[in-house]
Amino acid sequence: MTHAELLEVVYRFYPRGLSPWGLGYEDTEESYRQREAARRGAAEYPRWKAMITRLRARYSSTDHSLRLLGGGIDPGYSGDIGIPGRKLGFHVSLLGPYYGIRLTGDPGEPPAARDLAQEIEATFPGYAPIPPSQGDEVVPDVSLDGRWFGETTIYECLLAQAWRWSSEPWPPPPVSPEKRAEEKAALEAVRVRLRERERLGLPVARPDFEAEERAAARPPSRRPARPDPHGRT
Amino acid sequence: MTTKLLLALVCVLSTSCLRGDPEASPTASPSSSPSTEPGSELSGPDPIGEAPLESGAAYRPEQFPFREIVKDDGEGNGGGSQQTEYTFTFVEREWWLPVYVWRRPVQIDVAIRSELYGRISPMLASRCTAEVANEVVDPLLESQVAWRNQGELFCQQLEKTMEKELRATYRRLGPRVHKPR
Repeated sequence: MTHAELLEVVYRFYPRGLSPWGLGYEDTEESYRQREAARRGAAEYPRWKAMITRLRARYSSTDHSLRLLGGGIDPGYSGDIGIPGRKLGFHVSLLGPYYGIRLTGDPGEPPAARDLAQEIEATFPGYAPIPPSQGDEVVPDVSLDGRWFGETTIYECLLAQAWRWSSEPWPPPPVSPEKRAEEKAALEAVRVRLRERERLGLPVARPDFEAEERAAARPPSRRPARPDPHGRT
Repeated sequence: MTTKLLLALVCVLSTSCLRGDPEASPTASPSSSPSTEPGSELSGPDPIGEAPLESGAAYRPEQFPFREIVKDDGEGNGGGSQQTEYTFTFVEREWWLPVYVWRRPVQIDVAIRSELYGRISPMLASRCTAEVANEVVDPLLESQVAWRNQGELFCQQLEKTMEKELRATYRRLGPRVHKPR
């Protein structure tokens, strides 16, 4: 597995230089392939589910792939297992024979990661882990939901957009009341500055709640299934 | 004298009529009673109901009605998936005149059951989403001097910050914020 090979896979599924909000994104062949991969992932979900069930005999675990079954589009199956003091996230790609286990350097992770790797490789024969040296590389000309150009990594394109959050301390540390108060004060300061800019006639962008209310009052339009841009059935 | 009077009038108008903040918007009243909130008849006791979320904000829970898209099978630490779709509309004004308007539909997915909160009722999901929208929108709008012709970039940033804030504030709701497809 080389960096060039991984990039080739990325570019098969993500149009270069076009953000998901860009005009025509959904009509690109790459976007069509993404949707097809997600549909295939939903159809083959029982294989993943069987693996999660086996893991539950040894770990507490959460399956984060359920939105695929509801028509959602993700680049891979995602789940996590509980290890002492942490959650350990793991992902199996729907776009190529790759998987990843999100290691953060915690000393409790390696034994569970080895176990997970064995389970994944037994369930998905031929799949290989993407090493961090390649997975953390930025793909500069690809944008994802919530990731602008220059921010998106190979891990996020091929495994999960939530890659970086998939392993974390557990239970999460509580947010202190002082920090919460600081955040509220900062938010109020922002609102004061925005009002001041408005008062001075400077350019200010704000939510247009009245337009949103009007739009919400209209009956919802049915979104038709998007056809294959190249006429395949 | 006349100039001063005119200036005073403009200032009054600018702080009362043209603001998009909750105090000024007739459509952005504080949260309605729980009985009118979406999903209230479906939801059980709120798992984190002891800490009521803030009211009086611009975005209101009923603007984010969640519907179940994948049932919770009851297995594991979390399960199911519910979703809401909302079209955000923003307007940039200069000298109180609209110079740029952009609107974007966004879908937000959260789990139906999570390890930390137990069952996440549609009402709770709506409240969390409204609270997070209120926390992220103004700082994001203020982060650039102007957004003219940059609606696409703004929407990417909105998705990112909303998802990040949902994750930070409500751990393991399994949130995803994305463009509808």
